[in-house]
Amino acid sequence: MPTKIDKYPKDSSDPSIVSETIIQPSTIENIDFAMFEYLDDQLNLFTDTNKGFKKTPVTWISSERAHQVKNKRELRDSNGSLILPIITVERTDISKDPARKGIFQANIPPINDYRGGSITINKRINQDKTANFANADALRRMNVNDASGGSRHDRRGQINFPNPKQNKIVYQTMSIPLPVYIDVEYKITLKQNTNNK
Amino acid sequence: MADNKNKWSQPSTPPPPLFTGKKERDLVKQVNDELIERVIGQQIVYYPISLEHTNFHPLYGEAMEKTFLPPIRVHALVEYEGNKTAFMSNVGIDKEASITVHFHKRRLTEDQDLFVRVGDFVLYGDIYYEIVALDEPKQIFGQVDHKMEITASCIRAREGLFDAN
Repeated sequence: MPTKIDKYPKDSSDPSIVSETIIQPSTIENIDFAMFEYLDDQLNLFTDTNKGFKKTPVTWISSERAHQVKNKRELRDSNGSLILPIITVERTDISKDPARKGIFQANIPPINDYRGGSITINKRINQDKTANFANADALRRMNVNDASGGSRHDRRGQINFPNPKQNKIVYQTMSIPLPVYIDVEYKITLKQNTNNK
Repeated sequence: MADNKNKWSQPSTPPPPLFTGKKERDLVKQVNDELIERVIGQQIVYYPISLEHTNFHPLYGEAMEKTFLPPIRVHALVEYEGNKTAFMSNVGIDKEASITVHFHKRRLTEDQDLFVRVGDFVLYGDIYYEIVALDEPKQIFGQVDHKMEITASCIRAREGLFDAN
């Protein structure tokens, strides 16, 4: 069950925000992190060793020498040799294939404002702006009715009396840039001591 | 009845080698110390990279700026292997320099409390070198617990990789 704390994030004082989801940008670094975490956390591979049933460590290839040697000392024995089994990940290639356009077959020009964005993915009512329009309309009608000696009592003396025909609704739209599809190739190496399994 | 005074007893530890014991090993250390420091006199500055203080990338393990522990002056035998012209493919003319440093192991570990690691940097002359490979090729008197030297193969570190200034 979601609690009130879950419903209203701590860092948001706006009660109209029910929940927030932070979408990470798809940078190469984030794609690499996702691949690494998929291997390390999601697959979470274990293996039988002479020390028992142990999680197989996953490392990223091509870090600096000092980092390789001094970080994660549990990967090596006292002599400095790697303790197998081990899984290594390496990004070998990134290519952008023009034939892979995805669902957007042509360029969509961005929205003409400083934020840009080509594809609208969500929208919500901007309560403040919509209320301003509604109040302005109601006030205008009340003034008009007054001038014609009319129906002030119809609105019960309220400048913000509800108008069922209110159609000036202001939306806040969220849009994203046109996606760029790329192919990323990874080389995953599983190194073990013996080949009899 | 056998005489108890003449009864043979086994010593608790085996006797040391006759001519290759601690005294001889200390003599070797003393001679090498004098030879390296007072006769030959080559020296380097050793920069141990600090893993705790360097902001390595959590995935790629790379750091733009490396933080090092206080550098240490070390006397060692340095083989200078030249500063050769090389061709970097797709880029052009380049220079490659390398040295091999022979550290006196006992002097390093016992007197200076320094442990050589791959990835650390040394300054020889006015050029920084990165240690890329280590070896301990010689034992003292063939004794497995006593190594003579640590050999470090080093290549020149480009300015973008390490700069202590």
